[in-house]
Amino acid sequence: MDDILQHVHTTLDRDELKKIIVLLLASLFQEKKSFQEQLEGVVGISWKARLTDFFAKEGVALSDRARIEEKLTRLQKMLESLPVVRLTLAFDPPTHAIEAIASWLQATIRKPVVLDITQDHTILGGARIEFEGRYLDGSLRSKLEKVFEEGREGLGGLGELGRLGKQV
Amino acid sequence: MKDFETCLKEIGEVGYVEQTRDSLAYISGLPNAAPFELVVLESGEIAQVTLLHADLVEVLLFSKTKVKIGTKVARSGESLSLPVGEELLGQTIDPLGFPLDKTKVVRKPKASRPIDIAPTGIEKRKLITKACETGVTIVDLIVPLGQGQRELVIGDRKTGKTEFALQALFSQAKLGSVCIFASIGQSVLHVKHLEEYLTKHNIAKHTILVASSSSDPAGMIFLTPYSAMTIAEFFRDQGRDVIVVFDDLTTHAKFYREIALLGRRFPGRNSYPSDVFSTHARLLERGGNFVVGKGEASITCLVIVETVLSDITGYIQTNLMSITDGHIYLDTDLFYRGRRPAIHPFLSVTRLGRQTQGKIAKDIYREVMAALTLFEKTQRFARFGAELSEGSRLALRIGQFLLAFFEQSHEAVFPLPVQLASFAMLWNGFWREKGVAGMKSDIGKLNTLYQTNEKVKRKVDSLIRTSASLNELLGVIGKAQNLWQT
Repeated sequence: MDDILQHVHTTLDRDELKKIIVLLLASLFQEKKSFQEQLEGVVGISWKARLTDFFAKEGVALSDRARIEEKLTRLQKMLESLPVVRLTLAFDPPTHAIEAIASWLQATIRKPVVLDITQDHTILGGARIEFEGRYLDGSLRSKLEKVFEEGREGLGGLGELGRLGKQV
Repeated sequence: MKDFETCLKEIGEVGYVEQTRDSLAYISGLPNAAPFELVVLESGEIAQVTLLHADLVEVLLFSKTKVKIGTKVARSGESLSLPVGEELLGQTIDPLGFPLDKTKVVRKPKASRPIDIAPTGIEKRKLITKACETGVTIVDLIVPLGQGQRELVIGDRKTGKTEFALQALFSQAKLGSVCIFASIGQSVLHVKHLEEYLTKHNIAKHTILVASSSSDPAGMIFLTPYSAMTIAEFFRDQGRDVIVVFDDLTTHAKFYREIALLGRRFPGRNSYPSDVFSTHARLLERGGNFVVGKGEASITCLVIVETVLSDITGYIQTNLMSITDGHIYLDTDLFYRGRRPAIHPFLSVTRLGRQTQGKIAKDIYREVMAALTLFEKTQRFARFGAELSEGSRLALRIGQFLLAFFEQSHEAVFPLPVQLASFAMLWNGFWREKGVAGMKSDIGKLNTLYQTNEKVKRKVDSLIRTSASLNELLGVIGKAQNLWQT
């Protein structure tokens, strides 16, 4: 299962795979076509190859519909139980960036996760991360706000000095 | 109260609304949420954590605005608190402390107190020794209350429960107590009538009206009596006596039942949650007489409860009877017979008020109860149409005079000295010739003069003070003639 889950980085990937599984399960015992033909009709090229590899590694023959159903159902449950890491970035990340972030997160958290990436250009840079109820604001915006807050206190002190100077 | 962004940054936890059920919402995330903690929604509303499930947090909403699924939620790390201070006097506020009249500019109090706290322990309490005058003759003489007593006011709808409570508030406001009226889930028009009463009788500046209307969320209605009690505790700690009216706790129990059933709590008797007793007990146990500094201060509670078809054996009614220190029963039959107030002297009980009465009032109580008992028995006998003896006719006449003596408009309040003096005059036979109408007119005159004329006031007070018992007072009243002649 881990091999196919390695290709699921974001919630979009997860939802796409879930949709494919639902379509395959719906037509598994109804069509007169073979499962191979169903894969070609329903699934895109990339997912077709991955699923074929998946069944091969699991030792499931493409003619054994009962076992295919069992594996697909199990895969569906695993996809639903994958924890979601919500990521807010200032930009739309390219595929290689997503893969890098996903593998870093999996290495840190030590379990498979999916990313729910949203864009918010107002954070300027960095990221806001939410995982299992915990929230971390590592955005550039919050850092700058903190600098300005501290600077304002410092500037306020300078203002006080100025007023004292005038009195003197 | 901190805003959503501040809470999110400070606490570092976030949740998402997964499900809503009217006043309740279920939130995923927030791993360290604690019971009764306040949470802030992204839209600005606040809610209170009520239950922690394995993967969801149940919160009680306080806002009328519908909460959308997927709304972000942050923990505040605080419990629900209410701003309290002298600035609240004269205001009508909601249970969270915001003024209901948005057109008025009011100063927000600086201090705040948690709304739901454990009642004070035994070490800070004192025995009740001071009387709590309500200004209603039948109550002050027959079912007296003490400062710090929790008294139930029970009766069917439209029997005068709220009117009695307002009379008590009026009386206490004139004596310098802080008055708090908690209007729980009543109509907006009802709140308006209360405001008008307070303004008309010039006691608004001594009174705080904590109101939630029937269209408010169940969470807000549930909070109302606790908010009122929190404000009462603030003034108590300033050394001032407070009287709090809860109108009414049957409505409060109904809304609590609604919240519990929505939250899938197992229903108990009459579908009420099993902790409805504790809900009311922990509220009312915060009332009493307390040691404050070197002195004492009290929180007197008048708890209004509605019955249906005079059934006082209902679940909530009997719960509150056992929590409180007595009950004033407003009888529907007496009400329809035209008695105002419709307080039943034999079915009403006071467990603590008697110890606060002076000797004269105690003597009056004995005389009145004996006379009324004889009157009731004689009335039953008289229905048979048999010829009555002179004694029976006298008993009936005395009974009728007594009933007329206790009749009182809901607009009028009589200070205790006026009640004692006028009873002594009645018992002396002062109105034997003038009759009931003359008696009522003279008592009204005496009351007005007592409150406006210092000479009359001193005369009456001196007569009461110098008499050690009712017999002595009867003797001196007989010699004093017309008290209202200045």
